[in-house]
Amino acid sequence: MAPFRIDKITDRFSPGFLVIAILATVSTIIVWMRPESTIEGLEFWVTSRPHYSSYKPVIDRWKATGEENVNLVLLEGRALERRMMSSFFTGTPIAEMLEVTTGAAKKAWRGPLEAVGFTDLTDILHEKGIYEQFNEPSFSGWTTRGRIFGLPHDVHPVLLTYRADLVEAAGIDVEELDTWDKFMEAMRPLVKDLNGDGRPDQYILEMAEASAGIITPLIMQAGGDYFDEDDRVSIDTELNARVLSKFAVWAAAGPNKLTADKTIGDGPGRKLQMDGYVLAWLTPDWRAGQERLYLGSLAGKLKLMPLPAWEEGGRRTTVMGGTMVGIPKSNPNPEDALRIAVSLYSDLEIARDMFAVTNIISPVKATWDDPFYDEPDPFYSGQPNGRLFINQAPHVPVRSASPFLELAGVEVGIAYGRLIKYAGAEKIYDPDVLYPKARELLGRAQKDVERQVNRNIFIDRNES
Amino acid sequence: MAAKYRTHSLWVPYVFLAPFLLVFSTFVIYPLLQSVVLATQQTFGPGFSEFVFLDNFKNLLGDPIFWIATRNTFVYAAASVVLLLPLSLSLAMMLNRPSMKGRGFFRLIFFSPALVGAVFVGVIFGVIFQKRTGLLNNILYRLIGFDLDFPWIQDPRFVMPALIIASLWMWVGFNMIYFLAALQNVDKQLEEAATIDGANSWQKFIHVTVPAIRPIASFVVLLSIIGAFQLFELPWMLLNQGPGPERSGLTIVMNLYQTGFQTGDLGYASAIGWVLALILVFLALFQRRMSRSEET
Repeated sequence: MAPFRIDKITDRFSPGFLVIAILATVSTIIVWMRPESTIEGLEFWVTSRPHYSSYKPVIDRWKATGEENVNLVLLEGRALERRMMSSFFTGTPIAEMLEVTTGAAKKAWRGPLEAVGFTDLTDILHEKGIYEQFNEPSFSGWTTRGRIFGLPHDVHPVLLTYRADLVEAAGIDVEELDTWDKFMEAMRPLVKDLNGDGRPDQYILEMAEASAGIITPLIMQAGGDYFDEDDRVSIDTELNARVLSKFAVWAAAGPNKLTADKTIGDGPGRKLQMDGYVLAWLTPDWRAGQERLYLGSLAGKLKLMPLPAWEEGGRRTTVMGGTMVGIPKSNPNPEDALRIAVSLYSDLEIARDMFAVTNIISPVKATWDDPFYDEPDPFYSGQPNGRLFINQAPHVPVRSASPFLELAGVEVGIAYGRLIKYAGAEKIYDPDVLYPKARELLGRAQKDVERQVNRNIFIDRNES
Repeated sequence: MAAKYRTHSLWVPYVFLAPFLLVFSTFVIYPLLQSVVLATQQTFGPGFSEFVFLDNFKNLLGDPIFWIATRNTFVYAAASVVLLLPLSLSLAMMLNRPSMKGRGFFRLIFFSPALVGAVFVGVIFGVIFQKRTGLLNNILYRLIGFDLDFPWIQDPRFVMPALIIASLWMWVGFNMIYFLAALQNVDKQLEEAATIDGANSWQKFIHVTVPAIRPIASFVVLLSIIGAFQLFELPWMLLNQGPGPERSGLTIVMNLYQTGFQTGDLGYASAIGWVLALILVFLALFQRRMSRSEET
């Protein structure tokens, strides 16, 4: 047998080939020898860093005392959504508990009811009395075809933030402005051209004029929606058209224009808020937390008030956004996961921390009496902003959880944009005159959504 | 010995081809065939699918969203060809003049936007086109008193122009490189002969330069059309990860993405994909025929 000679190998193979071959061999051996990681206890995936930070100390304490064994994992939102849908579609591994937003959750119930990847919690929530512990309307966003698939993490009532410094300097008392008509009329003198170019630089209310981002919550405030109780499309209704007509008149170009098309929440939008381009905007509890963070120069200049109602004595709030915890069907012990979720969401320490960091109020009614919600907030001119949101929490509208809600919102947004343009072009400043056009445009939106809904052969409308 | 050699020579080519064929079959042929099957189904993930035969295609023909996407894509493709080509060629001719100083530097400057990627360009132009706070409106306001609130990407009428402006900024320099290469191959003797014959600059351009660069121009047209029909990242980022007001920035690929990956209807998305493929095949054949007829 000929002795092994290294020069035979180096003669035959290039150095590059040898380096690659060695690297491949070594890495294969390392991967092969690595012990398989096993996670003990229950895994809980969240996408929000503040949520993660609030749960972590409590979960660590549970672990230390042996009370519960939960592994909390922070994921990027879209990563969680992709992994969730992959798991629901093909059975790939997933955590035992998932915290997901409205947009992600709705994707899970686009198919037949038996294909929803989350555990149906309806019966157990009622049997264990959990349903009654939470703010009831907050379950609506997680309910499809009459079945509840998630535990609400929040309520997200909406108030109106306004520039108290400018409004009060103008001698306006918002206490009396309990309807939208009164509010807009009282504030009208504050629409001003500040730089003398003939165009206003200060408007009353922030509206997204090319999308349904603001008009949808306002429609819900008025009691409207895009789907009825049986999940049938109901966009073209008198109520929806009345809301659209009223706001389109205030948004239409011309001397009557009172609202500004600026989507707040991004850098340029925040600059405009700080510059006083808009004097009021819709603020769900979570956005109040962001305002404190990003609108520092407005500290002490802002105040919150309940939304003006559509009619005297009407609802003074609406709802925007939402997050739930869901338990995938692959979890063999959903009751354990539900118990942990309820414990987390009911925990007073978490509720306090969540409110302090994000301004999000708990959906668990028992926490609402806690005095931390009454603490004055210097950012909002010393108002107890937690209490203001809690006062409105029970009144948030019940909302549809149709998987086609997003599409309906897009179509209504298009109808709203066209209505504003039509009103501006035709110089129509009376909502009653604009109403027939609103019905026509909503009728078109309804047909477009129905076309897409009817194409879906998986959703049996008799299930609802 | 000769027989052994022949036996080896029979299977050796297949061994060399095997890795490519394996990868190609797995990642191209199989998905392609699978997409044909998917296009005849309505799905909610692989677990729930119903055979609907041609219903997806039938629905597509009556789907206004698909037609909006198709119209937008054609408008963008037409603008790409009509605006992009003359601009790229003009720039190339300018930077091809031997008398011009700093040609290399300017070539790099004009080419560099193509290096940054469509996502980056979309984000940057999203900020530039902002109402009131955007760079473009502010510059125009200071120069000519332009409307600070001009809604470049908020009004459906201006979304496509805004998209085309951003696209031109990105691709003019890239296509300029093709034309520069073509211009450098134009026969100098022909140009000189035309000059001696008394041809002016325009006549030389039409009768000498254009015929010489026609093959490259045809190639750039085809690339631009195919690129236009694959448009996705630029409008997606420019319009804040959506189709824009009244879907004015919706393209066919964006429609496909939203249908397949946002709403989970892979069957319908596959049908959209096949229609897109057919459009591209038709356009490529048309362009090929046009090029041939011009050559003959």
